[in-house]
Formats: sequence, structure tokens, C-alpha cells
Amino acid sequence: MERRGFVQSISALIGSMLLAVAGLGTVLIQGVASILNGKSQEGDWIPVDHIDRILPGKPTERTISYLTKDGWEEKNDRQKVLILFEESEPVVYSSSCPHLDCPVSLIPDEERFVCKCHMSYFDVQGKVMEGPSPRGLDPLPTKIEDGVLYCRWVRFQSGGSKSVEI
Amino acid sequence: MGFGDWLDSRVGHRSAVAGSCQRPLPDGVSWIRALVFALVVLFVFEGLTGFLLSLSYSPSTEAAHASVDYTLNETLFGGYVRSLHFHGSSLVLVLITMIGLCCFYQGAYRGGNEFSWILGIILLNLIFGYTITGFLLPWDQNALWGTKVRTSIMGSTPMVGPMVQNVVQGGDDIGNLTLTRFYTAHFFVLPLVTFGIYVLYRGIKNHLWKKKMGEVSDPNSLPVYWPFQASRDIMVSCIFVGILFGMAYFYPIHLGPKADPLLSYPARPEWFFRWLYQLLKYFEGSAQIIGTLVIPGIIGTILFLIPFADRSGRSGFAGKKTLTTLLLFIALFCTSLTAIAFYHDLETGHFEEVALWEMEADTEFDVDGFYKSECFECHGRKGSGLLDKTPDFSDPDYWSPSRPDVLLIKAILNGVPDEKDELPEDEEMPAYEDQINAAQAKALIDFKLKPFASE
Repeated sequence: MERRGFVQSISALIGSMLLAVAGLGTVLIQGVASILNGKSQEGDWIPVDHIDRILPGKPTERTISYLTKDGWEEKNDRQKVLILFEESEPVVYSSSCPHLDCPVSLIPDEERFVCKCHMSYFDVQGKVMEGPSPRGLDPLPTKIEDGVLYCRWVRFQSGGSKSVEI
Repeated sequence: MGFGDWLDSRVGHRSAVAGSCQRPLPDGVSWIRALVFALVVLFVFEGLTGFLLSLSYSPSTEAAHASVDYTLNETLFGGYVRSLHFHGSSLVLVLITMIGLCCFYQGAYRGGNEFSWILGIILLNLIFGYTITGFLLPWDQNALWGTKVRTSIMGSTPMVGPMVQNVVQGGDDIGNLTLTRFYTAHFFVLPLVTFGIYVLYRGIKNHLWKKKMGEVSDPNSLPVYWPFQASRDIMVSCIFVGILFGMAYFYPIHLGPKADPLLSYPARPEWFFRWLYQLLKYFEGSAQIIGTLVIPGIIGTILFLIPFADRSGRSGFAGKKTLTTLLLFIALFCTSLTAIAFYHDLETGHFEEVALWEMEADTEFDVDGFYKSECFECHGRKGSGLLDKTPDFSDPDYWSPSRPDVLLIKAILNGVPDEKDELPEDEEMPAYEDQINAAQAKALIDFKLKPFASE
């Protein structure tokens, strides 16, 4: 009787350990796989526009397009970027609100930016004017080469008072 | 021997049916049980309508919106089924709140019933899981941006946040893999867990029933399920199903414009999440976590602990004044935040703006005639603009996706104010809202102005 009880406890233990390993393993594999295969893009320089097509000193918006892999699909992903000026030099900013990633857009004729999800306003320097955004707009890596403005599309951690790249 | 006898000798269905119909009720008949029955009925309804919707749904960023559009417009009763499914979730939430309130009033979690209450709270969280995953599936603008906010909230959790966000989204951003996993969660994982909860609930109830039956001296004096409890079950379910059919009929659900990462959109969550949405606006910077995790967490914990905090052992509110006050305060808190959120949207013209976003062009409108009589003089025959400041519609760059039609509709209807006063009066863009409506303005944009760029 004692031996049978022992065998039973051992099989129950092994059984539940196997189950736990299988369950945890699935979650881990799935999690790792999603990070490896998930939507991402290469950190290449993306042309934004010719420099002479950007009016100096006037904040504006442009669309950038880059190749990305979204699961099984290779496609051109498009994003909106904001162009602001630092001492008459154009700097490209992400249009993703630092608060919770909603889209920030220029208010026509007003020279300030708004995120319409939770009503954060930003001035022409990208600083927060009002609303819940924890920091100003996030600048993207920018360069000018042969008269063309380039940027790199980077994502930032939402929330937090400092820009942290993901 | 008839077919019924033959079947019964193998399956034993007669005694099974008789057994559950004549099951004695040691606690007597109750309306709460009828509400629980209605909740089960609504869940079955959600399952059925969800199954029908899944027949013509394709979870990918390319196809999702088009497939829902197809369901709405080209399948038999597709729009009605979708409305039933959508409103069903609200009704489930209302019903589970009613059950919770009744149980709280009666102290129904006493006498070993604590775990039924806890299962109820778990179910409430599962319902939130259903709505959050279901929200993304139509892949319209509201779905994309609303979900972005939610996954970003997950990402802003200290320590594990970014990893959780990555796993939930299936990558750095919302895309195909987010749709597939939300879809699987919505129609496979969550229903499976829900069914598990139901089985546990029945098991607990059965256990308690046996215990109680052992204490009853004369089981024959008890009321039986059929018809005493069954009539209430059926009546309450019919009322709720009736309300659901009425809501789906009178308030059909529309599909918004397709999700587009280039266009900004004033996204809003469902009505029952509006208080959380409003809460987000008050906590800035690193305090955000108070609105997203701390306050909801505290409320959730209070709900979980109610059966253990209520030691009164009596039914009615009088015996548990502290808990009642606390719950009233929470209800007041959520209701007033919801009211503020809606009031603020009313004041800032949010609903008008959403209507403009979803505006469909009036195909009957004579765009050529209108253009000739009103626009031609300044914008020219080819739309390239004759004055210094008029935009060039024939330039394909003008129609960049970051210029939503909403802005143009507004410009046509309200005119473009010359704030710096640099233009002579006859060169300003006048307002046309007295002459045309928004659908006609949209027609003008779609059928007259946009074609200039391709000429």
C-alpha cells in the first residue's frame, strides 16, 4: 500500500512538472518568437524631402515610407513625421505622442501641434504647452545630405520624462 | 418498445431531464439566479453571433477592414448580427454589475459562497479582455489608435512593461501579428477560460447544494426548479434578449474609416472605459501610473475582498455601512469622470468632428455645376489656383495622406479665416455652409478636386 501511494505521488509530481514545463515553455517560445518575428524595420536613413521644398522656419508635416516586415508581409510602411526648426535648421520629429503613442498633428494656421486622444498641445519647439504628455515631442535622428533631409524612424518608450529608444 | 424507450435505455436522458427539472431548491427560488441564467444566455448569444461574424472575417491589416465591411454590407443580416454582438458586450457588463449589486445587497457571498463572488470578479475582468481584444478587430481608425493607447499603457508598466507590450503586440508596433493574436484571444482563449469559469461555478454550486440538502429534513417541502425557478429564468432572459434585439435594431453599429497610421484621429474608448480615459488626462508624466494602474488596481482589490470584508452576516445595506459608502464613492467617482469626458467632448465639438471623419460623399451632388459657379473664379479650370495663396489641387503632393479630407471639408464649409489680414477681401476663401452640406463638400473633394491631380 505504501509503495502504491509513493508511485502515485511520484507520477502526480512528474505529470504536473511536465504540464508546467509545457505551459511555461509555450508561453516563452511564443514570446521570444514574437520578438524575433514581429513587426520591425531596419534602422536605415529614410529620405524625408528635398531641403529646398521645405519652407525655412515653418513647422510642417511629411510622410516617410520604408520597407518593413510585418509578420508574413513585407511592405512599405508609412509614417507621418513632423518637421520643426532649431535655429533655422530643420529637425525631424516623431509624430507619435510621448504620452501614449497617439498621432500628433499640426493645427493648420496655428503653428502648434495637438494630440487629439488626450489633448496634449506642443509648441513649435516641440515642448509641451498643456495636456498630460510627460515630455516634449521626440526628435528622430536627422541628417542633411546632398540637399536631402533624412531621418531614421525610431520608436520611443511612452510615458517617462526622458526619450528612451525602444 | 418505442424509439424513446430504446434511446432512454442507452442514454438515460429521461431521468437526467427529470432530475434537473425536479431538483429541489433548498434556498427557494431567487431573482439573482434568474439574472445569472440570463447572463449565461447572453454569453451563448455572444458566442453564436461571434461565430457568424467569424465566418466572414480575416485578421490581417490588409483584409480586416474590408472583410468587416463585406460582413456589414453583403452578408445576410451581417450588420444586424454585428450590432447584436457589439451591444451584447455592453449588456453583459450591465447584467454582471446588476448581479454584483444584488449579491452585495443580500450578502449572497456568505455561507461558503465567497468563491462564486470571486469567479464573478474574474469574469468581469474576462469581459474587459473580450472588449479590448474585440475592439481592434474591425481595424478602423478608432480601433487602431484606441488599441495603441492600451498597449502603450501596458508598456508603461515599470520593469516588465516593454516586454509585455512586445509580446501582446507581436512586435514593436501594432500590425498583422497583433490582429492574429487578438483574434485568437477573442474567439478561442477567452471563451475557453470563460467556459472553465462556468464549470468551476457549477461545481461549487453543486457542492454547496449537496451540503445544504444534507441539512434539510423534508426535501419534499422544497420548491423544485421546474417550473418555479425556470419561469423566472426564462422571463428575465427574454427581457434581456429583447432589450438586446431592440438596441441592435435602433442603434446599428457603423464601421469607421480604415486604420491609417498617417491620419490623426480623435480616438475614444467604449462608454464603460471613458472614466479611465478621462483619468489619463489628469496624471502627467511619471504620475501616469496612478491613473493607469494604481487607481484601477485599488478598485479591483476592493471588489475582490468584499466577501471577506463584509462580516455583518446580514442582508441589506444597513449592516455594512463602510463598504456601502466605499462602493457608492467608487460609483460616483466613475460616473462623474464619465460625465466629464462626455461633456468635454460635447463642448469641443468632438462628435461633429467624428461625423465629418465618417462622412460619405453625396453622389447625387452636381459637383461640376457647383465648381463652375463658385470655385472656378479663384481655383481655375484645372484646379491649379489663380491667386497667390490658393492651393494647387493639380499637384499630387498636395494630396499627401497627412492632409485628411476633414480639413478640406471644414475649409469649404467654414471658409479660411485670414487672421493676419494679408489678403484683400475678395481673395479670401469664403464659407459655403449656407449653400452645401458636409456630404456635398466631401463629394466636391472626391469627385472634382482630387481628380485634378491625376489629369
